[in-house]
Amino acid sequence: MAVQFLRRLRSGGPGTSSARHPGGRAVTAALLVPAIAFLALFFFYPILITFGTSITPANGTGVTLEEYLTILSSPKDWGVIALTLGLAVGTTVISVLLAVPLALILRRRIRGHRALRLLVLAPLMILALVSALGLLILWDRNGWLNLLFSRLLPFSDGPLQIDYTIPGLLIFYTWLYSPFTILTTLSAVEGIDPNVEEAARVSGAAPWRVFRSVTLPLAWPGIRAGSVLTFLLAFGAFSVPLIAGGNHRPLPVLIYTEAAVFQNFERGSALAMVMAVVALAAIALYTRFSSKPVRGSAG
Amino acid sequence: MGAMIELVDVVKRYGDVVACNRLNLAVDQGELVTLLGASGCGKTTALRCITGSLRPDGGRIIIDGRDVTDVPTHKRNIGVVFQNFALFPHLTVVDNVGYPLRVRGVRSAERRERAIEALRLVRLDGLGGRFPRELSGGQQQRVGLARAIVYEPTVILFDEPLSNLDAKLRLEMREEIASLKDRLGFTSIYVTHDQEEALSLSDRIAVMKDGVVHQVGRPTEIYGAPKTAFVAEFLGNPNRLTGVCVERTEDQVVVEADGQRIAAIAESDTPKVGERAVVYVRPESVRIRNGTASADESTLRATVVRSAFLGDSTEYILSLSDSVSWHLRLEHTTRLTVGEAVDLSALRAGCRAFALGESADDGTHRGASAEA
Amino acid sequence: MTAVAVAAGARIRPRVGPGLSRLITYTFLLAFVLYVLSPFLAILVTSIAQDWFGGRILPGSLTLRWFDWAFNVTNLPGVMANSFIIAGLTIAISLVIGIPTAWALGRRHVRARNVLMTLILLPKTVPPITFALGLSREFYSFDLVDTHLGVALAHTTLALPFVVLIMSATFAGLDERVLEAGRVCGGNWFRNLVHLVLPMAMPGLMASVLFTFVTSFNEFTLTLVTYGPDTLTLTVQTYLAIGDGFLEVASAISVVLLVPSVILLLLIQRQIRPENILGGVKGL
Ligand SMILES: Nc1ncnc2c1ncn2[C@@H]1O[C@H](COP(=O)(O)OP(=O)(O)OP(=O)(O)O)[C@@H](O)[C@H]1O
Ligand SMILES: Nc1ncnc2c1ncn2[C@@H]1O[C@H](COP(=O)(O)OP(=O)(O)OP(=O)(O)O)[C@@H](O)[C@H]1O
Ligand SMILES: [Mg+2]
Ligand SMILES: [Mg+2]
Repeated sequence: MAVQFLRRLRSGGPGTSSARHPGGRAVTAALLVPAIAFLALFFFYPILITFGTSITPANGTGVTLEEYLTILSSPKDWGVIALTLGLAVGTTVISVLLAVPLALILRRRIRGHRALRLLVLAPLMILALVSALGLLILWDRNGWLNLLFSRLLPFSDGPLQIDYTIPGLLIFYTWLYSPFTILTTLSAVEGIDPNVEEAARVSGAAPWRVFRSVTLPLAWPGIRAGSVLTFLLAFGAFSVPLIAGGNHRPLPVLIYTEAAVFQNFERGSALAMVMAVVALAAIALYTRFSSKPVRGSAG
Repeated sequence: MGAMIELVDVVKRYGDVVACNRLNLAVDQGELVTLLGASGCGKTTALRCITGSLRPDGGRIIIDGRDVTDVPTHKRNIGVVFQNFALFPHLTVVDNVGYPLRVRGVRSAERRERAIEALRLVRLDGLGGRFPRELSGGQQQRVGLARAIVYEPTVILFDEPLSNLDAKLRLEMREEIASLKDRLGFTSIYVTHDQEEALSLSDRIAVMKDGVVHQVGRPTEIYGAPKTAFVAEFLGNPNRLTGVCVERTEDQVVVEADGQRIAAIAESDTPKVGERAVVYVRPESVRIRNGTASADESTLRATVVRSAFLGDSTEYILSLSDSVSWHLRLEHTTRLTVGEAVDLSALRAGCRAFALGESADDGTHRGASAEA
Repeated sequence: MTAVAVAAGARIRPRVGPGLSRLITYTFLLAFVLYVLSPFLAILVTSIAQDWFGGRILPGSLTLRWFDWAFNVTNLPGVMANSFIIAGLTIAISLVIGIPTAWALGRRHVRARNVLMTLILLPKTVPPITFALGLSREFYSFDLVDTHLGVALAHTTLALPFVVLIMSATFAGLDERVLEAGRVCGGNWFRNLVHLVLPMAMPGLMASVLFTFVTSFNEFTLTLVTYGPDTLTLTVQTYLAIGDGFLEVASAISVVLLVPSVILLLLIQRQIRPENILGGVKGL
């Protein structure tokens, strides 16, 4: 499962300590209780409530799957799911395309690489809303980038509309969520023994081939680990599309709008459950199909 | 006969450090030449210039008559065996060995066949399906060897291939490389700082220091007739005596130190009378004197300071003066006790004298190890 | 000597390749730097801009009015206090609840530990919006809405998995021999805790505190469904300002928000190893 995959990545192997301590199982159980109880109360129970709400008819009694059926039969809702997934996948792909060359440059420890590393972290530390605001101002029809484009490309007809469009959301998401991919990719690339790439070169592999058959497969676990995070964050992004999505409403925004604005808790809850299932399924698929990367295709 | 590998005045700097300083070396077809030198003397740098991973700041590199100075690494057709093996961790053993063939467009069936043949040559049959991490260190280096020979490259470079292996395995792999070389006849440059390895394996040895080759020659030449104090010092773990040259004739020079006199072979560049000089004495040319010394032996007085049992022999540390101590290995037939005073005989043929000119540090630096 | 004519120590003509790839490299890096920094620059300039319309590159004049608004009209000090109180509470709750569990998972024999760990990490795997609605309903029935404690509890669901993860790895990595030595030397468990365990676990603890702070300080979704007039945080206030269309005021608030973030970034940079990053720096 995806979660296990994440856990394995994060903890760096099973932290088995053979130490058996006094007190035995009772003490162990007592130590575990607070966290389990907390999550039961404030995570699993809310999900149960959400699920309960989603299958309760509007008039209050009985059980109904009506909301789910409505979602499943509505092309509009399918469109929203597709948009959410599409944005997440697009962001992930762009992030990898950005991360790999950047990591290959930063590994060379050129002058100023420390500052660059710090810069990579910046989007992680700053509130997504703040970043989104900055990006909105930057890409505004009268913003700096459009001013630049209008000077560089004199034949362009009018300013580019980026804010509140899907390409705009992709740009924003990538700015916000690519650092995860960049950092793990960098760490994976730096873990590669340069002699191994050297061995490929002396064996007769041209630079691109060395990259494809040695560097990339060896960096792949790192790329995958970070890109799962990028994917998850892009999939669940809420505040950014809320203020910068315009008419494009990915699932989290739709869920919030249904529940908070239209007070339709049943539909909001059903959409939330759909979202949870899609998220878990997507990660499961992702980890499954990326676990055997370019391996073996040394040619 | 044309040289297979030729370095001409190769210069490589890292900032202020000159790692290769007008390096010249020619390796003939089928020859194994060792680059021998202390850590940091530029051996790896020289090798990396040959592979093309480093670009020399000056000079040319010629392989098989072709100037490859401007040829990128992957077009040089060189095999390299790395110190840390540098196997592809994501490929099986067969795929590791087959990789050079794969990038050369060899078809899969033939590739496999040739990889397995190469693995057989390094006596690794049957392990082709494993991943490198499932092999022991010795096995991994055999895979590295197989990968380097599988495409029959013009030359094979070895960068301290045995230094990550334990002593016994090192000996075994050394034999392996020697026999492979005899069978396949490749031309190679072999980097090491293990003199025993160099002496036993090489057709010729190039002794390097500070980016310069001091002497190139057959092992017996290098060992028996070192041309510089550094070469004499570096090979054979010699005993050493520093003093003043007091006599110089047609066939010998005599150096006096702390009241002891020692005669050494005269060479063209031996010190002149009155000059400070250092004499290197091969341990095997020193014996405990019994009876009178012959004409070609010098006699020296020493005190036994320490002894170390080595199994088949015992090593004694002998003090010739406050600042000079020698080591001497003796069979168990002769026994010395600590504190005992002995007379030593040093065979003139095993002694070399060098002037302590501006290169005085040549002797003093390394001397520490001999006196330890 | 070979037949190849060789000028001794000949100068080598520069290759075209490296020069070109160098140019590409530095262009790429420059673009990346601008790409990351320009939104911040845009905010900084907006927050002090006046008369900035109609395709001007820089504002006509500068003003501190927006900061004045941010502080007085939107009660920024009070809002900021809320953010810090909630973050502090979140840190306290997460550590108190998370550390015992982390100790058990890191140092004791726990059956089904994998299942347990998966469950504990689940809140970081599904987007918060999926349980935010239920949480909000629950909070209404418990009267936790619009209380500092309530918002902090909501934030703890996201901070706790990270604390457990980091601390269990930290505890598992403690050197058993040192602890053994402590026991042998006759220290009681409290002395051992203070003098041995605490110093050794310090890096993990620091990472937990810093990341929990960032998580709480920046959390939007779970704040939005649990806040009220008395628990308005900086995050929500920024959102409200943007929603009202006061981009200048929102920028001023954002600049204020950037200060702790930049300080944290500098504090935290050494802690940031990929395995920590994967623990998630901010909420999903
Ligand atoms: N990338 C580099 N940058 C700066 N200096 C370097 C670099 N690589 C090597 N040097 C320096 O160049 C000199 C020669 O290094 P080189 O690696 O060739 O030595 P070596 O003979 O292979 O030593 P060893 O036996 O330890 O492998 C050393 O002084 C080393 O410090
Ligand atoms: N993970 C593994 N899977 C399968 N076989 C293995 C694995 N690890 C080691 N082996 C095999 O077990 C044998 C012993 O390996 P080990 O690494 O213990 O050798 P070693 O004594 O350390 O040798 P060396 O001195 O060469 O490192 C070897 O034949 C090796 O191929
Ligand atoms: Mg070296
Ligand atoms: Mg081993």
